Amino acid sequence: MNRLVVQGAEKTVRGIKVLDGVSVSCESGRVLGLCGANGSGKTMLMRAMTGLMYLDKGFVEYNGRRLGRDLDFIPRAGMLIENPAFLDRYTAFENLQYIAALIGGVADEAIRSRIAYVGLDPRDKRKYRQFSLGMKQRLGIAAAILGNPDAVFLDEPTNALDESGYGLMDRIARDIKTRGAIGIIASHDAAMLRRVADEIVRMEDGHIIQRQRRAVSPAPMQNGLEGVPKV
Amino acid sequence: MMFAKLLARDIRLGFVRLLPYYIGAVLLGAVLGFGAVALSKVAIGDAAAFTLGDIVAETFDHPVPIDWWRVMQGRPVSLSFEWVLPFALFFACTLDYPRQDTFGVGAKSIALSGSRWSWWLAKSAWCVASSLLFWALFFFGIAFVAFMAGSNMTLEVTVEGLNVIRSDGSSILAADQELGAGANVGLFIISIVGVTCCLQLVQFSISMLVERIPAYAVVMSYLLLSCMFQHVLLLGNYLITGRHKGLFLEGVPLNVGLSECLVVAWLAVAIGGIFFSRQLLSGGGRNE
Repeated sequence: MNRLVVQGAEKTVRGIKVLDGVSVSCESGRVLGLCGANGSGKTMLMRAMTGLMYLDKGFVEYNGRRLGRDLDFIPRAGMLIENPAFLDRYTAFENLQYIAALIGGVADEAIRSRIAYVGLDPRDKRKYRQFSLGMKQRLGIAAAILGNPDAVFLDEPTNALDESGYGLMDRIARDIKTRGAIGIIASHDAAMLRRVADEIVRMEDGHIIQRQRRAVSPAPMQNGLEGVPKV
Repeated sequence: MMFAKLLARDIRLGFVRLLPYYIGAVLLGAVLGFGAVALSKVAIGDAAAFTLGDIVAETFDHPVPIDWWRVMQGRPVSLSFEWVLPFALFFACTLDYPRQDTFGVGAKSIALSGSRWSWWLAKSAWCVASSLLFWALFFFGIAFVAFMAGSNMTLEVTVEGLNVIRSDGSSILAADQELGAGANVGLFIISIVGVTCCLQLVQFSISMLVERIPAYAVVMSYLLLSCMFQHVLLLGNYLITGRHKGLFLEGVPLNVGLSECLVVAWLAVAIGGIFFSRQLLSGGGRNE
């Protein structure tokens, strides 16, 4: 059982407080949704969780080990932070091969499987620079779930995706829960988060204003969260 | 193990990106070598009169960038472009890739490495490896032209070659400066490689913490300014023919220079790594 805990996270970047006392947690087999408008702090929180950014105050712990002290990064984590970016001159398969080489133990067949899983053609010979925005996004998701990571971080995964993107997120969330991984998904799309997340926190100006945990039968919601008092 | 994986990745990806620079290194070496061969033809009447050592010595012969005495005489400021060009190209070649690799898929590789220090050390090793390849290709370009011109492919500097370099008017060599016994450019080439690899690591650290252009400006400025005075602690001196003890008795000793390089390189990697270990990484892509 893995557990990710963020406690009292505070961060100031260029004089702007981007995180202000944020505390969340997530365990194996669950998906945490981060909801909020642009600039609410979702991406910054995700950067802190993944180790790309260290906090001014507070901490991030993974299985009791603190990022920035005991760990630089969460081991066996897959991530899609902000917009995806890959190597322009290479195909989808070749790009994922470079990532797989660092992960270790990921066969070529597994790479092709992941490419197909996100709705791309593993035999496509087009270079990444020839991809549409949607294709780039899908490849970013494929990279994040390559090698069955223990923790998956997806930042605005449905950007530029068509309606089939919702089905893809459903499958990914189901896979995360079945495998017992940790899933963190940030999105301004509350409808998508309601479908896949076990707990949703709403952020605004760097702090959490609402939390909701999924009941067995979630009640209809307005504005993402309803019936839950502001924190 | 992860260090080896990261370095292998960097060599494969970085080589592709640096290919234009490597081609430029061969061509520049060939052009400068051709210039030296042409000088031999004009001055001595024989294109094959210079040895390979003479050609290398002539290529890296360099006047004081700003000779105030000459300026006061009304002469323009002189800058040896043939000396500056190899270094200008060299320091440009590793400016882009390390920094670009902290965004997008590169940021993923940092996270997958599990350790910012592993990534930093792999990138530092890549800078050194890329530098070695650059100089190997550059000197290959010179050697190729020397070979085609029929020059003696020895690294020794000849008295005849030295006299032509002095009379060329661009030399900083004193007229009575005495050649060392069996003077050859072998140690001088080692000096070039060692000093530039060290400064490459300094540039790498600055470019990762600040930006690429300021890093380049700092290193190139230091290089030019450190040629103004002859001193063992000024690394630019080790890149100029006339100031090298391997060639001239009064020159700066290589062992001091390489020792200084090791210290400076270690400090650059250590200090840069400490700052990088706390640096905010975007994680996303960006438009270059």
